[in-house]
Amino acid sequence: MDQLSHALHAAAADPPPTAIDLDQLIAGERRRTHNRYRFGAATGAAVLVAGAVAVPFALGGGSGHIAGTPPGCRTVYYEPGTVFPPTPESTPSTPPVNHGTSAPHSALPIDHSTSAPHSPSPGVSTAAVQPQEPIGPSPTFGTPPTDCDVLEELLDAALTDAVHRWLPDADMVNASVYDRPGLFHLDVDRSYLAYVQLGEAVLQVQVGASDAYTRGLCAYPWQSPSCEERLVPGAKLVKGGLPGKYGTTIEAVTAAKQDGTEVRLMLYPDIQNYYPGPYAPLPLTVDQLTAIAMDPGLTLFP
Amino acid sequence: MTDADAYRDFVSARLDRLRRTGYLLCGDWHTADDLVSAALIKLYRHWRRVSTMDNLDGYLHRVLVRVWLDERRRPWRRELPYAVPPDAAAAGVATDERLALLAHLAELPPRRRAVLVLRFFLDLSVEQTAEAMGCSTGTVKSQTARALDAMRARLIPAGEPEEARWTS
Repeated sequence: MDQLSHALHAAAADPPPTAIDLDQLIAGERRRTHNRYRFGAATGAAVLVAGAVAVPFALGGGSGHIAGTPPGCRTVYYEPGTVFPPTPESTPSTPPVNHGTSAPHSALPIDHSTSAPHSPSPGVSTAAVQPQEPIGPSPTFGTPPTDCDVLEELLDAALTDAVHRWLPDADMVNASVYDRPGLFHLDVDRSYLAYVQLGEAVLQVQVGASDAYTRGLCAYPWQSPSCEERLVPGAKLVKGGLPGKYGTTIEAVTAAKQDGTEVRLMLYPDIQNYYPGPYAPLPLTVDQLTAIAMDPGLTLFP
Repeated sequence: MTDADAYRDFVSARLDRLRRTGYLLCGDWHTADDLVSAALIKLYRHWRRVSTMDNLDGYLHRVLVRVWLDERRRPWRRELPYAVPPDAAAAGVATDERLALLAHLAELPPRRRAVLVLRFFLDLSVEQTAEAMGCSTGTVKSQTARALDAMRARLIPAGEPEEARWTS
């Protein structure tokens, strides 16, 4: 053991001069914080003005909805011009924002040689024949979130409870890199994202805004042509497995809820840390994942 | 003493060790500087809150490991951008051993590699390593055992007596 320790110290000996300048680092961080506050104040003022203009129309029964930035959020929450919450009669002509094309898909151990239908490429539609018309009853909408930090904590608690309902002794470890104690973080694409280490598997949970309840989950261009959605009380569901690397399977469940929240769950073996296997069975079944996705606490509108 | 001064003092005393830790994690000094910078920025952002922690070093190790694990998840880190290995340093016994060790470390899965570095370079206990990795002590022990097995298998050629250089 001493030899290993000695070898490690020897391997890291003689470092080159560092490029890290602490003063520059501190100054840069101060500048970033200053700009953020300044931009936040300007945005807040703009939202107040926009709200003052929009509220009378909304209260007057017009068809417009307020699409703004909840106070306290660290990033803009809705796409500019987004009509949200979606109306039952709204049928977008463009594909919805793919809430999972950045970090989540890049982190998945998907075997792309056999999973072409799940390609996140927005330009390739493999589900052009899928229904675009509104399906199911009219959605209901809750109160938009007012504080992203609060919502992160609520989602953390909801996910923890939902998972512990099936795995009471599960050690839920934040497998993402954010140095915060909770599980969820607001991702760059404005959805809430969590990577949870569950033993030798990783559970990826994404909670975002979507109009999939009214337009159909299978309308997403990256869904499989054989995609079938199922209407259950309060949500539409798509579930199924995807082929993963090294013969593994990724279990996936997506629930588009009536309140305008879309919850995506993916569970897969942690091949990064347990390669080359053998991999333990996934700790949750598809039905259990479905139950977690349907947990009422996993919502943008608590 | 201002927050910035306290932060500067704290980091200055640990910068060299942090860089070496980062180097053992990623195997490249430039990337190590990037990792350490990212960790130090995160530390600075939360300095007021975390500076009163009992185990601030443990917190910093945790941030560094997580920054590195995140870096490993990024797709552009998974494949090296060159078709043939870059030029190696001039051969020599010490250099060869060092490169061999780094090469063997690089073949380990990220968390096992991190466990080895935390335990045998930073001399953290199992509990401290578990805290830095955000996992249980049992996981640290199993990851350590697997990592040592893998290192042993790579460093002791087949057919040689089983007098392992490194035992757990």
